[in-house]
Amino acid sequence: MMRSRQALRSGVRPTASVCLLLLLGGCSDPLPPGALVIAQSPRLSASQTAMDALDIRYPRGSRVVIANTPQEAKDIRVLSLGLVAAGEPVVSYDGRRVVFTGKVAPGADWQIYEARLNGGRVRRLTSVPGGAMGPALLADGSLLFISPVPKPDPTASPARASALFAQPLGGPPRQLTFSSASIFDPTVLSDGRILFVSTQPSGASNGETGRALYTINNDGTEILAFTGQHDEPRSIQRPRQLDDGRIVFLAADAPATQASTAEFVLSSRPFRSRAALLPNSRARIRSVQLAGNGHLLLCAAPEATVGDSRGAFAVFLLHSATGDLGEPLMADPEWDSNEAVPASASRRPMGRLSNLDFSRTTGQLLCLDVNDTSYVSRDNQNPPRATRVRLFTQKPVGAQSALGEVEVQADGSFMAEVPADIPIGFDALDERGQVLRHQSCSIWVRPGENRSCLGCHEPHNHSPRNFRPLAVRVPVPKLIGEPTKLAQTVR
Amino acid sequence: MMTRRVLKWAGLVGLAGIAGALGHHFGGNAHIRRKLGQPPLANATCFNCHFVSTRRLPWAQPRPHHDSPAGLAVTPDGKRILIALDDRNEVAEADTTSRQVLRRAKASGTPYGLAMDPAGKRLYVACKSADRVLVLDAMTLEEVGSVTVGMGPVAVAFCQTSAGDRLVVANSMSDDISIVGVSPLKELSRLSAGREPFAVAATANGTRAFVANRLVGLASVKSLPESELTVVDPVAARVVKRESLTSAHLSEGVNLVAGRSWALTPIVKVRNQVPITQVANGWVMSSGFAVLDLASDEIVQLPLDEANDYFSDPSMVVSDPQGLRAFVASGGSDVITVVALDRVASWLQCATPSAKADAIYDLTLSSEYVTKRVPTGRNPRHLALSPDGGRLFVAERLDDSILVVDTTSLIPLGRIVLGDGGLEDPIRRGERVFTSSAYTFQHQFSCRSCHPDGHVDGLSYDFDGDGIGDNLLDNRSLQGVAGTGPFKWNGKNPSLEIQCGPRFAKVLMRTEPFPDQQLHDLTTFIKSLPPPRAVRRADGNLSPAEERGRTIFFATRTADGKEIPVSSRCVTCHAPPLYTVRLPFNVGTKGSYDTTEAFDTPHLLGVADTAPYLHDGRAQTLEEIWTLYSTNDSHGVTSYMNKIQLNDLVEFLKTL
Repeated sequence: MMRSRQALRSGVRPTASVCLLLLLGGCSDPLPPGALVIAQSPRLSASQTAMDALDIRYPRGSRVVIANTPQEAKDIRVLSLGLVAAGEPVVSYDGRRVVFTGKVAPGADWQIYEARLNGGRVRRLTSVPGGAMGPALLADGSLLFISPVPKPDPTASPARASALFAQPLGGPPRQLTFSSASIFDPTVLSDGRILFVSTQPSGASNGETGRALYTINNDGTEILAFTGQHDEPRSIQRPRQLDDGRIVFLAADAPATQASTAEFVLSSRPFRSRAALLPNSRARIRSVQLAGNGHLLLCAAPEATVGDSRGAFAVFLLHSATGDLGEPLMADPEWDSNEAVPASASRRPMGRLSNLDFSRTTGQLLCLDVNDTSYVSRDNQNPPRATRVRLFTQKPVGAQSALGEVEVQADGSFMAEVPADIPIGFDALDERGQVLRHQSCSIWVRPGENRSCLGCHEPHNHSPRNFRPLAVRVPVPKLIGEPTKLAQTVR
Repeated sequence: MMTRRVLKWAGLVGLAGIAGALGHHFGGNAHIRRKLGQPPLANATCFNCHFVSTRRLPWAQPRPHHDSPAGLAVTPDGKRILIALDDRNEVAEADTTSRQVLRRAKASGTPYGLAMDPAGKRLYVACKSADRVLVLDAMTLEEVGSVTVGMGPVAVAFCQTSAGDRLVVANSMSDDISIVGVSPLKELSRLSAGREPFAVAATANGTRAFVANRLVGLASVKSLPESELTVVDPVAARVVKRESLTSAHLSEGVNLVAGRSWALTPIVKVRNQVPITQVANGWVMSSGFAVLDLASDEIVQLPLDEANDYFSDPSMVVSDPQGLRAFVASGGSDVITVVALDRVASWLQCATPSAKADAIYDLTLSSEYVTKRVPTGRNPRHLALSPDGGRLFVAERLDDSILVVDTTSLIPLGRIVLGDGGLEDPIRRGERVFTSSAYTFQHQFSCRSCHPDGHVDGLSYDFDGDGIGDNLLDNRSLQGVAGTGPFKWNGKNPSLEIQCGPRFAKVLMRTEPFPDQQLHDLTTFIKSLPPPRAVRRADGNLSPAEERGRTIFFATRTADGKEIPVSSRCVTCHAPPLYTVRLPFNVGTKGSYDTTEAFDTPHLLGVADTAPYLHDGRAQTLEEIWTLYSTNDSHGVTSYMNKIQLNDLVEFLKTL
């Protein structure tokens, strides 16, 4: 209003002034080719108490900057003005804005912020309890983020698992993942799916949890294992898709490790192609990002600085085929570079129309053959066969509650209607009620989703045989009552 | 004065409009009820029955023609390539070195498939719409003979046999194979094939020919679909074996591998029996090729796709003279896939029987033998190799060009340009959308994957929009669909724009809808598709049986004089000229999982070629509609008919 009055006083009509402002904004100098958005941390920051995992990765003073000429370390402009710490920059597909994680005060929650690359004020995009981290962008511009931000101790059991949310432009956030495991580091693949890291349910006797990559659609449907479920080392971070379809990620022995090696899998056979991105390098790497034209941007500390636990992480431009780090594109003795992203437009991923029906509170599960499992050789003529399947959830958190049991049809198929948006696990039971195979609460269905699978721990990346499952010919068992406490089972 | 006059006319028009509306409401509805013999089950207007003309429909209008390359044949010296231009009714000749078109010759009747004799003297041209094989002098391209074959010939193979030279011709519309003697030029025999034979290859000694059939055979929609690889003895002119490709179809090519006892044919591995709850992981279909080992008579289906990327609509396969590599054209993905055949052989040698049986389901297996994906122009369909195997020629059908690839380096050498691509033509642009898998999740399939050439694939699918259940829906032809809306079997999509837009995106593409311009082009293309060609006598008149059937179709009384209720007369719902009034009716076919008992009335133009029938495809033939399913006069009154009368009715329907 004040601005309008001033405009009127100065003889300029409000609409004209708005147009003028827009025009000026649109006519601002375009960014030079090669400009980078970089998340930096001060190498000599004052010690602070880490409240959560991001405080360790981005200590106070961390910032997001744009470097118009990356070779000149001083030629930078800070984008995260007004924030005490910031990181995890993601440039929008049109190359005009950047979203990143930041906090306004040392004791405040981390939230997602936005800034225009050609200047302007920082704008907060999220306001969620427990904080938000790991921003990514869907094809339609919706913001993806993780919430809550986990606590620094990776072994501590969180009050609630970190989940993935999508927030459309101008709309409220909607939760997309409902597993009992924590979700991290989402990124959007070119086919429109969201790839993310998930802690894996504890299967080890020492209670350790590993991490692996999973995918979902942009509405939270069709969670699928992507890779890393049975691999070592146990921690996977920051997956990104390369031009050639490879998925590169950071791997470390422990989740809290800040610097890691870079590895990749082929999307053509993600479970059988894991390899080092830089097989001849001992550099510690904090991020790998696609830079276009077959190039990668790496934030890495070369071998010479190993032993300096804090850093000298610089930005390197690497051709994905050569695998040689060479000279850094940008290095600053006072700052560690954590992430570097091209400040330019990039190819928009595929979008997707959702089939969800939010008037419903349930979804359906169809398993084609519960006895189709990679744990039993297909040449085994007499494998133990499951005759029933028990479905369970986690209610309250950490405790298993049974949703009910369903009969397995003669062909191994079963169907069930289950409550939507809760974690669901399975026990395949033999005729004596003994558990043949167990799957913890790692999947869910969305309202109105029809979710199907081939089997129970079936071989990955297999397509179904063509047959009419018997389960679709009988009424669907409805397991939609209140879960009951699950008795101890024999495995 | 002027104002008063305008007001007066406006008032009169307004009154007329109100009167018309009231008249329609009170009189029109009664008229509709009277004409249908029952209240309409959907909103009906005058335009359901009146003012309908096929002459005004898009497919009846003139359309631009393009230089779309179809069949290819390379001369024995490798210097020239002959190209069938079916949309131009021409055959083009080009220099393979300079990649210049040397000349074009007229070849009327939609020339599609080509074959050349080993001496390079004669070119044999399968002319799809003329039902004949033309013989051209390969040097002058002048016609030196022709022979009538079955309906819709699309492929021809030349073979030298102990009994003389033979042609083996795949007749796609009459579902048979013509065995033709070359001298004299005469059809010797016509053998029953599978459904829609589409490609032919013959052994060098002419003892065997292999015919790939595009569609699955007619069988219960709840049984596993099977297409056929027909093995023919060209000398004895008989079928010696019918190899079955289970749950595989759309084979548009077949190739015999030198030095190995293999026949290769590309396939689409279909999963129509599984509820379509997702498309990820090849849940709907995937692409591959079948290896028929002629020595062991074993067929193994192998994937061409990858775990997170698909190479849709494999259409043609060729292999080099050394038998080391095969090249498969993926028409939907614009890619030539290079397959190392020695790696295939190694894998097959080590694989257990169960591994072979499961191979097609392993989406990571292609990494074992696929060595390269060569990008091409739009819609690669036909392939040919130079005699030495050094150059691969790829017909980029919707770019009007032939891509020439060096098979050693696998680098494109250049293109033979036949036309400008026709991008000014919205129908051509729409066909490019129709045949492209770029819009579907992970490029899994194109519109063409279920509607080859806009037609049927002969399958029924279980969509999950109404939940997961035993609820199949027959895949309807898009040929002749213009003006027959609403669409879908439940008649809920008023236009093709809605049918092909958001609905298709949600149910099948699992991506975002086509952009507006592409959607407009796509529907323009679909509307331009004429109905399937019907079986008619050369003089255009009906045969006596067809004439009797016509009388039955339009009958108001049964043979013994009883009046047929209006609602049960064929012509009430299937009124000419489209043979549909575009309203839903209950014909007693509601299944236990169907959410409605009223189904859209399909048009009957070209109905003989659109099996199976009824909304779930339960009727394999037109006869079965009344002999197996609607036996209680729920789908017209037919119980009075004897066998001959029903046959007559069916004969008439086949002429539509």
